Amino acid sequence: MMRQLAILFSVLVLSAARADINIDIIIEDGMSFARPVAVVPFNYSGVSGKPPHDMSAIIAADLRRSGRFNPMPFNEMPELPTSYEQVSIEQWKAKGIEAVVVGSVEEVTPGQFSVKYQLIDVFKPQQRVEGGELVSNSDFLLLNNTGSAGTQNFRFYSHQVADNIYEALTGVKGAFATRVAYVTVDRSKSRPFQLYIADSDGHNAESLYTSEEAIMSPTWSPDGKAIAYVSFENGRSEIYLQQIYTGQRTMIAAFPGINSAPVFSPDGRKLALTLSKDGNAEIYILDLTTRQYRRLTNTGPNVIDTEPEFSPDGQWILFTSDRGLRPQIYRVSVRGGRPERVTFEGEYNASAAYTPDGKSIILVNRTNGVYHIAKQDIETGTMQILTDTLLDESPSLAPNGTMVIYATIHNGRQVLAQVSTDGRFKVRLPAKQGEVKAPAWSPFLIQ
Amino acid sequence: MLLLVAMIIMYSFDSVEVREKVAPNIRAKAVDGAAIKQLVEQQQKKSPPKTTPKKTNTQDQKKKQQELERKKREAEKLRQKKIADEKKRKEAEAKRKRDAEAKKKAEQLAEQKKKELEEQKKRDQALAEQRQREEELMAEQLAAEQQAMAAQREAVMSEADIFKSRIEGRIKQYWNKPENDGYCVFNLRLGPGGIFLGFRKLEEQGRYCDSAERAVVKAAPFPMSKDPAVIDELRSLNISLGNNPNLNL
Repeated sequence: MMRQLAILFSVLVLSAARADINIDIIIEDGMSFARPVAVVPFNYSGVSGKPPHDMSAIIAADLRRSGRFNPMPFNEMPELPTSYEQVSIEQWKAKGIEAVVVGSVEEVTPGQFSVKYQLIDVFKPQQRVEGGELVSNSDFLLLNNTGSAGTQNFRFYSHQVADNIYEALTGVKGAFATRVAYVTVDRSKSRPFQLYIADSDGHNAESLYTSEEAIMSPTWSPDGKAIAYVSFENGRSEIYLQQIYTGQRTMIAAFPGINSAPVFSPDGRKLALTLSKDGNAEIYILDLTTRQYRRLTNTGPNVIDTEPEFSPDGQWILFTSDRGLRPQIYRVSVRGGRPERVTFEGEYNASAAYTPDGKSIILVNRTNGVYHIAKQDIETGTMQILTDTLLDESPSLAPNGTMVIYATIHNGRQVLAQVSTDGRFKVRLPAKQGEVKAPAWSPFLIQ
Repeated sequence: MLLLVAMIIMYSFDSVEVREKVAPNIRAKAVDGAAIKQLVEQQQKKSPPKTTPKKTNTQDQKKKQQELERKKREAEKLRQKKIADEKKRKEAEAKRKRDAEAKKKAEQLAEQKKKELEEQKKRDQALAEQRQREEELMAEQLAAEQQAMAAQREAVMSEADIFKSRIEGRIKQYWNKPENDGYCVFNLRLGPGGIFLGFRKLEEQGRYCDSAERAVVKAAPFPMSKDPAVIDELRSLNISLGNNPNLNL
């Protein structure tokens, strides 16, 4: 008797639990806009007249570059608090601002700075009801941090602060405290070719290598400590690996014929590259420890297979091939096998790389004769053109997949540009002397 | 719901063994005290008293004595029998009387009961008739009320629907849909004038409730009717924002 009752009771409970919530309104689509935020100028105190850099300006610029945020101009701010207690949230709410950053910089000893900053979510409640009473709620204070920096790394530290803010607001790791490598060509110099690395916003550029002969295709090792690139210093294409902090250089590939388009596997143990040692340009995988190599593609003498890129899980290689008459993107398993075609839109697709979530690829697409950076969704195959610049080439993705740096032509000169992967924000990087090309975005540098 | 009913039907409840407390079945036999006494006396008479026999010429005397005693015994027996018979007769008579009386009483009772039953029946009938009349009246009233209410409800519902879709539009205007996939099911409480009273997360995936909460706080005050019935209808709404696979449409 009891057993039957128990079973009947549990059935009743189960059916009650499975009863769906009665939904009154269903909304599937909304708007898509850059979120309005405000980075209030930080307070400064110290012996020097001003801090090494305007940290709040750097943070605001970073957030804007991601395309996901729209920082409020300083002259529109209703108040200028420098710590969260001073913030009157209603004033910002009235302006539609979703989040406010406030902070202060103090020079504790000459050249050493203590930084305090807070991030306030304007739309989170500051009070909640608990046990019938109104108690204060600290959900609205998303960040309350203290850090320190010296004059040398003050700017880079500002990018780290921007990363923390980005992650707190989106849940995605920020990629502002990263670097980009690129090649400049200044024919007016005796050694025209230079390999540079700079901050992700183009500042703090430093030269890594200068050469009389061409430098091409820089690529970062996954630990962010070395860069591999193609150098023609010996009269032909060879691939070198250079340690960034020690300057040590080693030659890692010098096969007969072409050695080009190097790219590291996600675990850093292998290199995929283009070699023509067996007759024509094909994709190979080179094991950096055993020095053993394996051929991945096998097409005839009139076909070029090049520009390999690993998938985020390291199992696939994306590459450009003109086996179908015009360059298109194909993918092949790292274990080899039959490659399958990935792009079908437009008359030309090249230089493809996966976004870190593996759901899209960023590439160069040519439609109606115009080369644009585009994003293709893997599942649906739909392609979205991201840029409105012309003759775009060599796209490189930020390690969190939110921004792309690429080379383009402006006023007859090749320059670098950036576009956010949602297509919202576009910028041209400050033009240096000569031509700038072959940008490569570093991996995450801060753990 | 069907599932529940089916399960109940499927289950056979065991026959319930209920042990009631019953008085133990005693096979009683009525014992007649008088009969026992009689039997005892009979037994006593059967076993003669142990006396030593007298001399021979007293043997005639003895015979006479014995004859006398025998006669005495017989007379006694007869007398006892007479008593017994008389007793029996009296008892039977008494019993007959009693039975007759009981029968009479029973008949009277039955007659009375019958009367009472009839009267009760009459009363019940009257009551039933009255009740039925009252019910009919009430049913009429109820039907009229319900019709009025239904009409009003329709008016309220269609007005509520109108405002529901306005509220939906307003939220859409202010909701910044996140890049990733996900959904948020929440309860929104609104007051007169469409003021925002509360946001309560019910279900979430992909960190969607942050943007949902922001949207409704930004969108307030919402379009709202002035009709208190409609305000009441819309004061607590369950809303799903995003790609929700659990919705059964």
